[in-house]
Amino acid sequence: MPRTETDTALERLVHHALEVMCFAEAERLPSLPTMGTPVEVSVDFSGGRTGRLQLDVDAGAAHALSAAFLGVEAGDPSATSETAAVVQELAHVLAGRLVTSLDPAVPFEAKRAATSWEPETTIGQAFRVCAGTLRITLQMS
Amino acid sequence: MPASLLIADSSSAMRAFVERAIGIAGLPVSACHQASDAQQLLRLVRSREVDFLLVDTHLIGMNEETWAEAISAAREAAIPFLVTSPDASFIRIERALQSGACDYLLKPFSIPTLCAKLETALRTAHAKN
Repeated sequence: MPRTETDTALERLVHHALEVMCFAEAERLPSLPTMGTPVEVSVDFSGGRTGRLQLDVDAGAAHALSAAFLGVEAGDPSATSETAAVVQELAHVLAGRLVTSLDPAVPFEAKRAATSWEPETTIGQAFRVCAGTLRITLQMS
Repeated sequence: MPASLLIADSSSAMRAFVERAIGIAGLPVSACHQASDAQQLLRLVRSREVDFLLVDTHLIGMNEETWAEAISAAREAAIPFLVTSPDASFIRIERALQSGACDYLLKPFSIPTLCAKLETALRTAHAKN
């Protein structure tokens, strides 16, 4: 199946965001793996596009990303306490950059749409990062 | 002269990241205040304890009204501000720059980029004062 513009843009953004924020290299996986008990965050958005971006990250990988983002050792308490916040910020950045790259004329609004919507596009991507898995689920109108 | 900086971002991780970047770069910052929502931002800007503001466009409670209030309060107190955002839309960038922002820093950004922008903005603000 040919890759869509959204799929390509999302993958490019994941590589860029992980590298800039966490100095982490990501390798895209050919299929979506089942995950145990990941750190799970999501961002609802509206504006030019309406949708939801969900990130699931293995606990170990999420912790490593948090430590890298904050510039602390893995054993530092802040790496643990800020893990969900770091993953949430990553999701926020990915959603904002993706939506405004697809439709640069409309501002990104990180809030749930006022009216109900049906996803026209659903994209799943998974990456190997920090010896763990990061999975993205994007639903968008 | 060292400046008192206000970091306004709803992400505690991002606030910690910025504070660490400032420490690493040795920027002339005497104190880092933090705001996690628009109301805290307004209160701190109006307190006049801040010399420089770094504000995210998607701060909790931020809408057109609170943005206008914050910008107006910052201008009244002669506080320069740098805008951060994951929003690359033309409209958001234009609005920020037209409202008087020193610069618009698109997320994600690296520590060197943040520090270079902050250093320039702080130097400019200092020269104006």
